[in-house]
Amino acid sequence: MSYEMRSIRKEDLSVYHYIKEVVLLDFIELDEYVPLVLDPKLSSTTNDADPSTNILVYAAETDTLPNPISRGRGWVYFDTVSGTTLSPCEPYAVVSGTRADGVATTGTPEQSTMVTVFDANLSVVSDLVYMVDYVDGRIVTDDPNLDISYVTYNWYYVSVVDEWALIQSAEPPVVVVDIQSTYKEGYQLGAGKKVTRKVDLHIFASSAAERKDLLDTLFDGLYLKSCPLYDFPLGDVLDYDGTFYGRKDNPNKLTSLFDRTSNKNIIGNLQFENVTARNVGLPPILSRNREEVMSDLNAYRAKVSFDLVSYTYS
Amino acid sequence: MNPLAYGERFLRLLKRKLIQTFEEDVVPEVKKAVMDNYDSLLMNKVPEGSLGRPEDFRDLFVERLDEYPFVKTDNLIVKLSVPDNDTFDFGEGLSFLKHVMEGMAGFYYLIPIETYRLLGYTPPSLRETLYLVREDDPLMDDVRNILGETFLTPYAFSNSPPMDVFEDVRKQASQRVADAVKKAVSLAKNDFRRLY
Repeated sequence: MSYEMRSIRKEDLSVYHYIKEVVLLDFIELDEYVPLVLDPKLSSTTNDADPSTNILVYAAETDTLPNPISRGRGWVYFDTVSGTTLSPCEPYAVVSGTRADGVATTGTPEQSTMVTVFDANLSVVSDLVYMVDYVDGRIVTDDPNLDISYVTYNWYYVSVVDEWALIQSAEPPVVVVDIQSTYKEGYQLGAGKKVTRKVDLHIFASSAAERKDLLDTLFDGLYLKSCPLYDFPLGDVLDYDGTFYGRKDNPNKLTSLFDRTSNKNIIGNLQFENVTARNVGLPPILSRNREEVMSDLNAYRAKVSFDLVSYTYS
Repeated sequence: MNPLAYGERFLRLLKRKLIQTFEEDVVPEVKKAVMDNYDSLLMNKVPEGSLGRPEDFRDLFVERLDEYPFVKTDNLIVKLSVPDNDTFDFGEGLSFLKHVMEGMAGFYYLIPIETYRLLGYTPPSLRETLYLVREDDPLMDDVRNILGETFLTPYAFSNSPPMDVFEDVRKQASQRVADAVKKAVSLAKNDFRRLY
C-alpha cells in the first residue's frame, strides 16, 4: 500500500521550512576552521576484504554556544542567492534536474558554499569525496587516505522545533511551531474547502533584546505574506541520517534536488492571516539568586499567533 | 421635539438595551465556555492530595471571572471584552494557573511559601501560596535538605504546552454578538415606540 503524508503534515513541514530558511535567514552564523576529529564509535574501518564498506565519520569539535547541532539547529544545507533578481521571499535558487528517484523536476540542490572542508594545510577538499551530516555536524567519507582536518560551516542560530517537549533539549533562542486546531468550511458551490489552522509560534529567547528581534522578524515574515505548500514526494530535505536526501547514491547535486513543486490541491499559497504578537509575561519563579531566574528558559518568552489558510480544489 | 433629540434618546435607549442583552445573553455563555474549557483541560490531571491541583484554584478562578468587566462603555460605545491570558486577573493567588495556561518548558518543582520562608528567604509576594523552582536550581539542594526527596512535589504541568482556557472563547463570543445586537435593537425599537 502506498502511503502519502496528509495535508496537515505537509503544511506543518512547509511552514517549518519557511520559518527556518526564509523568515530567519538573517539568523545564520558562521563557525570557521573548526577541527574535525575521527569518531571511532561511529566509524567502521575493519573490513579489509571489502574496503568499500568502510566508513569514516569526523565530528566537528566546537565550543560555540548555543551548540550549533542542538535540537532544531544544524548546519545550513541550501546556498542562498544574493545579488540576483530573486524575490526575497524565495532566497534559494530553483534549477532543473531530477529528484533522487530520477523523476525530472525543478528544485534546490544541496549547498556548495555553506560547508567547506579543509585538509591539514587548509586546502579545500572537494565535496565529491565526502558527505555532510547536517543534523549532527559530521563529515562522512569512505576514503581512509583522505586528509580532512577542519571545517567551516554556516549554522542556524535559532532552533526551530515542532514539539514543545523538544524545547528543553535546545538552548535559547528556540521557536516552537505549534499547530493548535483546524476548521474546514465550504467556500463555493461544489467541491473545495477553506481550511483554517490556528498556529502559535512560541519564542524562547535568551535576552529581552533578542526577544524583540525575533518577535519583530517573525511578525514581519508572516504579516501579509504567504508560503508555498510543498508536496514532499520523497520526504523531507534531509535523510534519516542527516545527509541531503539522495546524496548517498549520487554525488551529482543536480540529480538529488529538493523538489520545490507545490501541492496541486490548493489554490495558490498557504496564507498567513490574523497575525498577532505579544510578549508572554510569567509570574516569578523562586530561585537562590537572580542570575538563575534570568537564565531560566521561560524568562524571555513571546508568542506570535496566526491563521494558516488554504483553499483546496477537492 | 427636535428630531436630533429623538435620535439621541434612541441611541441612549439602544445603549442600555445592548448592555442588558450582553449581560443577560452573551456573558453567561462566555463564562460557561471558559469554565467548560477549565474543566476539560485542567481538572482530574493531578492526583488528589497533591500540591498544585487546578481543582483547588477553581473557586477563586470563578470569583475572578465574575469580577471581570465583560461589558465596557465609553459615551455611546458599548464594548464586549472577552478575557485572555493578558487581560484576566491572575494576581493574588492565581499566578500558579498563569504558568499552566502559558505552558512551561523544562522541569519544575512546587514549593509552598512556608518552605521558602523556612530556608530563610523572603518570598517575592505574600499573596501566593505556591511557587515553582527549576529542577536544577541550586535552591533545590536547600529544599531537599529540609524536605527530603520523598516530600518534593514535581510540577505536574512541567514541560507542557499551554492549556489555555480562553482559547476559542473569543470566536464563540463574536458569533453570539450579532444575535445579541439584533435583539437589543428590536427591544430598543419597541421601547422607543412605547415611550415616544
